[in-house]
Amino acid sequence: MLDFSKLAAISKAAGFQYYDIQNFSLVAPSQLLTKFTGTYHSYTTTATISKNRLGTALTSQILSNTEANLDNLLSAGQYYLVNGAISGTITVGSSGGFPIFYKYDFNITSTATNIVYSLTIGNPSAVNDVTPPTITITGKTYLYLAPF
Amino acid sequence: MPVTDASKIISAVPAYKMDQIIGIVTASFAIGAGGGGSPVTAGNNQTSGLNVATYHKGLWSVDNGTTWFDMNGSYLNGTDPATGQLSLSVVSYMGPTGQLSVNATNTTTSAYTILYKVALLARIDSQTITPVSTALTLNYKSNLNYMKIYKEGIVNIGVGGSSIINHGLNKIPNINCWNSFDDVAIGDNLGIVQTTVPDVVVDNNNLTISNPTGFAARNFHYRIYLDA
Repeated sequence: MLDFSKLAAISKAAGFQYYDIQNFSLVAPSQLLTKFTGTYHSYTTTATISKNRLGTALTSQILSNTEANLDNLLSAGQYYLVNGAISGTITVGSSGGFPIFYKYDFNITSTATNIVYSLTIGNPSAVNDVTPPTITITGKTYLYLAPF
Repeated sequence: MPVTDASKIISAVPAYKMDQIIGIVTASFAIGAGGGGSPVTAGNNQTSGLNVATYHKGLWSVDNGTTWFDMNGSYLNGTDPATGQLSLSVVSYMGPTGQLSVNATNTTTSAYTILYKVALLARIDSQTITPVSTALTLNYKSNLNYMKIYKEGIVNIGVGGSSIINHGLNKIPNINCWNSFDDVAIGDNLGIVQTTVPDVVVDNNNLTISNPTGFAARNFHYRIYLDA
């Protein structure tokens, strides 16, 4: 038998009200990252999804969950839960016994009208130039509202 | 046509739960400039008034609300030869008596005022709760992606171990995951992929939670949302 008091509870609260699900993809092409000589050499690429359905007035109420596949770290079909950012280093070889690696930072921010995904790759090494492979990040973001 | 037979209404409430926001915490604090690689930390504590650790998800801003980052996200500003980036990161943590701690680590060379908002969620073992009322128009149409029902659970994962939870949905579901110590305190919403923090991976059939070497055995609370 239906308990109508439970329907009242649903009507009152607030759970997160889901508003949109959007896919994203960004690619950082393979390119030479020269060694550090006083300035960290990095390259940033971005992807943007629109929040047109939400409008600027709701920006500060929007939470998101992002699940992303980083093709250098995960097998096809697998997705990391990303709450804000992912960063790390990937070794691409060695020279003279020292690892050659590059650093990556995947970051998510919300502006008045968009969700912006940024991927920065760089060579913090003072020893070697680095050419990372093409890096592709794909995923989806669930956007939802909170009663802030 | 009006519903005359209540037994024909299928209610998701008895079988599955939905996220319920039982509190909102908003505050701000200042953090000084880092030393270009030397981290500076700051934060503050807020009493939730709930006397129990809850799940939580939040946002933070460094420009008085113009742009927002998810908790555990980072604001990148500047360069550092040792690490490659200078960053400001913010995480939230809920203590066993309902004290929400929000902490920031700043290696950038700028000082900031951090504004944050955190929604507190009823947890798997919550007793009687009173959810927060909402002023938003609630949509009950599934095509508008209203509140999602979920399956949830708790797994204990030892040092360097992992746990695979089969969801069997044959698609990638939305998930949430929190780590806890003795099921009392609740750590920040997981998802960071690094070598020294837990990872959360999902595919068409399984949710895999990993607790890397160096992290003490702990419980992980998870939710797998059943509809798209």
